[in-house]
Amino acid sequence: MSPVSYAQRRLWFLNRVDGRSAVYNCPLVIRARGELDRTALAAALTDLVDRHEVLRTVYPGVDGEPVRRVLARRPELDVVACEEAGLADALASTLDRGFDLTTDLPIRATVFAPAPREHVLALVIHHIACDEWSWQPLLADLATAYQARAAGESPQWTPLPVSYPDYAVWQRELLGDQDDPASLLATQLAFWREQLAGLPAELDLPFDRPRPAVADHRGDAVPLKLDGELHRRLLAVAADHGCTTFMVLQAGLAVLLSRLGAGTDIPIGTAVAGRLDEALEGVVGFFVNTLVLRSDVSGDPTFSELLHRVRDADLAAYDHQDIPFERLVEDLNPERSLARHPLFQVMLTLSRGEEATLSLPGLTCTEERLDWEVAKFDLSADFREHYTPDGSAAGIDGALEYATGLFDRATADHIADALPRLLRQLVSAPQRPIGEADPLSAEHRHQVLVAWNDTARPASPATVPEVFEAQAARTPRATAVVCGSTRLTFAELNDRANLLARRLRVQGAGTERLVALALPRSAESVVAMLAVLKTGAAYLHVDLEYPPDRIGHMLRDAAPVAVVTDTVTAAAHSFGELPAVFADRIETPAGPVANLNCRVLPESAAYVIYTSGSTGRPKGVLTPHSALSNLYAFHRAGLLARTEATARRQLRSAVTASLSFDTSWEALFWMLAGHELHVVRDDIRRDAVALTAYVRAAGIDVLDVTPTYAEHLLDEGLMSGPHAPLVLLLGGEAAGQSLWTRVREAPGTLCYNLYGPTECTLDALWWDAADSPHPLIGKPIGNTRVFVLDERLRPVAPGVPGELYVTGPGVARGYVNRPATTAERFVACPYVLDGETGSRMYRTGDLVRWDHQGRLDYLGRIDDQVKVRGFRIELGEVEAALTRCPDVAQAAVAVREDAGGDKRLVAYVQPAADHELDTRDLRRRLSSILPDHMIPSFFQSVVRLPLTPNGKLDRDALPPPDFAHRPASRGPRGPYEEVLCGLFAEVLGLSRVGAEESFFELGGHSLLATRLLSRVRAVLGGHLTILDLFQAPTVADLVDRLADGARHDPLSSLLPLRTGADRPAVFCVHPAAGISWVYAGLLSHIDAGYPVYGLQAKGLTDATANGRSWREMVKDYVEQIRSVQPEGPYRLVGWSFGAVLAHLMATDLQAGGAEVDLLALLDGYPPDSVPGYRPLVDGGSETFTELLDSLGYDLSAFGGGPLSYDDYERTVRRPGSTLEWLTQSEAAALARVFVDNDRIYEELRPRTYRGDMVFFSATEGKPEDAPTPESWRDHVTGRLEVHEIACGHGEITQAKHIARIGAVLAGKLALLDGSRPTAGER
Amino acid sequence: MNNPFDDENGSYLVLANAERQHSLWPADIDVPAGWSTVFGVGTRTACLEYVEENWTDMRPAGLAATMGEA
Repeated sequence: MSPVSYAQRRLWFLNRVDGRSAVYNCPLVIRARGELDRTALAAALTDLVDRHEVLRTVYPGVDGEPVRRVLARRPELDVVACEEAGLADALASTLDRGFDLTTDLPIRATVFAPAPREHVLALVIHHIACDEWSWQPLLADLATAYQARAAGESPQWTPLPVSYPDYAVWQRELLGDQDDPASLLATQLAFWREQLAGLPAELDLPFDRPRPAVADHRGDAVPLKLDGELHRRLLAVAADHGCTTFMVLQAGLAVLLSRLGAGTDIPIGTAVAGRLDEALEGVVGFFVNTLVLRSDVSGDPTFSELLHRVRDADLAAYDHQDIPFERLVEDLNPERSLARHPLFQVMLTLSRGEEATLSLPGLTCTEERLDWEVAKFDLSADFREHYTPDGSAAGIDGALEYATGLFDRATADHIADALPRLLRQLVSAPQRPIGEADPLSAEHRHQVLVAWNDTARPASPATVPEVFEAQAARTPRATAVVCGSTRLTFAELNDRANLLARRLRVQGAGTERLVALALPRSAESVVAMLAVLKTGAAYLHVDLEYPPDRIGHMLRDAAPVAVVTDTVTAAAHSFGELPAVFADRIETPAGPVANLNCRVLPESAAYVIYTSGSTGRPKGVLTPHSALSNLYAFHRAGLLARTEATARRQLRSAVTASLSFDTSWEALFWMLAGHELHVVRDDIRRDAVALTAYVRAAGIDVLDVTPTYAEHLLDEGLMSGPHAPLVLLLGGEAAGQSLWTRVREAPGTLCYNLYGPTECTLDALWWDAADSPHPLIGKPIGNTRVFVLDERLRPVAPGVPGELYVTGPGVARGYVNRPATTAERFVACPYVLDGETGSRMYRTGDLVRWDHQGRLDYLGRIDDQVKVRGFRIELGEVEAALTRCPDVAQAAVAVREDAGGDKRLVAYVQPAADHELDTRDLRRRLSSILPDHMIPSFFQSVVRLPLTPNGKLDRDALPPPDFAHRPASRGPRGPYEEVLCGLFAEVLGLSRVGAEESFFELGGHSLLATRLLSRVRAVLGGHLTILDLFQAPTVADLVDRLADGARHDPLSSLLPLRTGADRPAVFCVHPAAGISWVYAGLLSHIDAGYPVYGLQAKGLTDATANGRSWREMVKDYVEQIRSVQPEGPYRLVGWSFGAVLAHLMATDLQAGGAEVDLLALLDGYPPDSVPGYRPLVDGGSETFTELLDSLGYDLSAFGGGPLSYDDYERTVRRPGSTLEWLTQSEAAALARVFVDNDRIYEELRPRTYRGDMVFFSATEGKPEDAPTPESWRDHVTGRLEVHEIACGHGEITQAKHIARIGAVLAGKLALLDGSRPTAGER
Repeated sequence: MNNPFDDENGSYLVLANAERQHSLWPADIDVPAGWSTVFGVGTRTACLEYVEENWTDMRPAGLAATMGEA
């Protein structure tokens, strides 16, 4: 059997994957007018297939590899009658149908007859038998055969010197063996390996949609046209540079792609004929090969220089074109994906002259243009070069095929339109740097600079104090501020602010002066902010949680004239020599205090806010009044007016951000407009559960939070129920798709996404989530213009990434005392409006792009600034702080996502010589310099930081953090600790967490803390607060704060697994081992509204309790449960020995007249049903085997031999065991209890339970004659509902199995108590 | 993507406007309307040093004038 060629083999495999796909169909449709001899055409088709063996070859698979089989079968010429109107559909039915290469001939021919003397011939050949260069000989042969057959003869043609199978053999011989280093295959592979090293896996193009996981290969095409004049210039430049036309087109395309955002390393694919011998020219078959041509457009070379680069690379590539592309892909093995073409995603071809066509005697044949419907690549530019008969350039035309899964037609049009424009500039000035050429059309330029920035509206001269004073005069008695129990009316707030302002005037507060505010979060903070603004001065909020070092730096840098504080705060903090004004020592004004009548200049400073600085020190952004006024006016006329029109009442807005962040103005604006401002206390604002409850209780209408926090609030039900806020504002970081979708689905809540760095005063861009299905940062606010610019500060087209620049009144004045930093960030604006001059723009460092509707999409940062939970952090600042620590040689900081997708700051530390990484010490040192949100969650020691070839830190090469590698910590003690350790691990995304590991040192932060608390509440109940967690951050400490603050003895007879809930409790009865923590696993599945108690053997703590009768035991247990729940209904669960006890307790309770409405038994059976039951002997080796087995311990390590007491004790107390913390004497007590219960078991005689019973039966590892659930049949009056659990008897309370049991019980409880959702479902 | 203001090896100007606000500016890009060159062509470092030394009153000139009147 002769081999298939490499290229055929690849197509065959693709065909096996999806045989229905028409992606590799090669179609040709010809319209023939005149008299067609159909019989002759059918015969000619047979002749054609006779001549070209490849057209009658199928490729069945043998051992998963294709083999050739030449058939005697010939294709039929299908003749189909159809109307012209139905032709397109009829054609599609043949053109879009795939081939099964194992059985179908690879050619299909159909004649449609839409009218008399009108025929449309559709030829479809699978690419495995055909390529672009095959059409010429194929059509010529078909014509020859038709002419002969029409004349009643057979065609006379010269036999072909070679056939396709000869080629396949020849190809393998030519290439030789890869293992032979001298073979062509080996040498060419070596060339390509070097040539394509480090190739980008995927080219970033201006996609309109995210790349689908699997390419659907659907495509469309737009025309490409280079006129004769451009063609001529292109030829001239090609001649000057010793290049081909193709090379000039390739260089131009590479420049264009680079300018569209593809970077500077541009791989482009092209097709080469692959017919390296003249003998192959007349042969139909798949010879074409694909080459990857890599263009290096880096360093802004001249076009001449680029052409030289392209020429050199292409010539070298052509010299190594024999290796089949498929073979190359196999060898290079790039990261494979069904989503994209390997090695390159953009194709370029150029052919010359007119296309091959059919000429049949007596007929006029024209090729029908086909609608492109497939795309093998993201983009494919296919050019055809034309010449006049006298040989001069007549233009280049073609089509740009694009994948419709990625691009809109508008984008393809833009690219097709930009290419000739760019090429014209490049070939006109080949000595100029390529970066000077601009692909943007005048139309797009107008669109992005002017049309989409049409935001002008009247200036708003009123400053914040003026707006506020006017409002206070209008509604003096309305509530202005609420904080805890403090409520101030507008009049009270204004009077207090006026009084304080007068005091501040005395201290020198006034225009261009600063006053520091160092107050706990309170209504007083708002009074103080207004007071400062009224004096004409600017405020600087001091976040009292910041380390003293940072506060000290801010105060020294900003040099305020005074600090407003209170007695308690001043005692705890040092504000240096600053004159202090004590807010708590100013008496409450008895009557109205007049406004100050200070002149507040719009250009003067309103506040200073410090943000992270890349060089290691925070920098203060100084914002003028005019910036704040402009934003207020925009929201006043938009968002506020819109909300007021719906609500028609005074609204309540909540400030949940730190007042030291400018985003707090988002809430304050509502107060300026006469609404009620709620300053939410720290312990509430940071706790998603508490905040959600506050929003409901206080009826908050307007809430501004980060997207990360919004997710938590939505999880807690912020948007469900009748008290969802009317307005949810998102800001501070990029909003994700899932949140976007959720807020869009929330009825009755208006959700705005707001974008803006502090340097642009809160918001520069805004978007209403309702108006886009995916997250957008949208359009500029009033009077603000935004530009998306390239590296030469030129606007880029829609879809193309660029850096965002903002200009307008919102642009801040600059950084306090930092002229140089200001001059490099707040820069001259080249795009001024009429009548404007000398304006500045802020360069944001944010990478964005326009969509086709003039809205901006956020893509990321161009620098090392990161956002973690909405906090803006310069990695450089954290790195600088780290390297200032002794023992640290070098450090790098990166943002990494943990298993749960949460962003964490990770520090990579190279310790100084002879030092080891001391995480605790580093954390302590950093927390004296940096605020909490800038302290890395995780520290990882590295031997050396990875560097780029130019010696810079290579952030991409930083290893993924090894979160699991930590010093050992003891395991959990008792059921609470076990549950808590599990919840810590779940929330932190770790596989396990020890009982003494700190939540915060493991990377927990305040947002994760709220998630943890919410889980703890759902699973264990209780009321842990965020404060508890801060004060007791380990499981071991936290457990004390659960269960009403009293730590329960884990061996106590009545073990409260979950208390404080108000529904009837679930009581769980211990198995023979006497302990009940095994039931802790039920907690996460049963709604937190149900208390859960475990009954444990008294003998665990009191040896004298052994030896009792079963009646005493049951009586005791019933008394105990009645002590915590005097009345029914009772719910009882028991496992094994405990199952029988639970049944006895239930019948006892029923005999006493109490209601029992749930009895669930876990694989326990009446003793009389157990065949040959033999009681244990205390101390016997069987005791320990059975005891451990009953608790699900794996005893395979003992090889089935008898166990000693020592074996038992070691097993139970080994680290990682649930019982590891038992003392020696407790372990001994457990064994005694087990033997005693075994004695009792024999005597148990269940009675009859009135009601339905649920039974969970363990089905694995049971002997043939083991008792079945049926043995309970006579002990139940109602239904016996059996659930089979596929596990051994001892394993039934392991997490996986108890989850199933819990789910069943939760369902039962829900039925009994109404349809309240379970904890797991919420 | 590189920002034209961040090229450590680039050539720059220092521009100033009527408000005496200063801006670093890449030497090979046209100077925007309303701005004039006050320093350069020079290295980035030299330009930033010039700004640090010469832009001492960071208030906009108009504001300083108004305050002077007041």
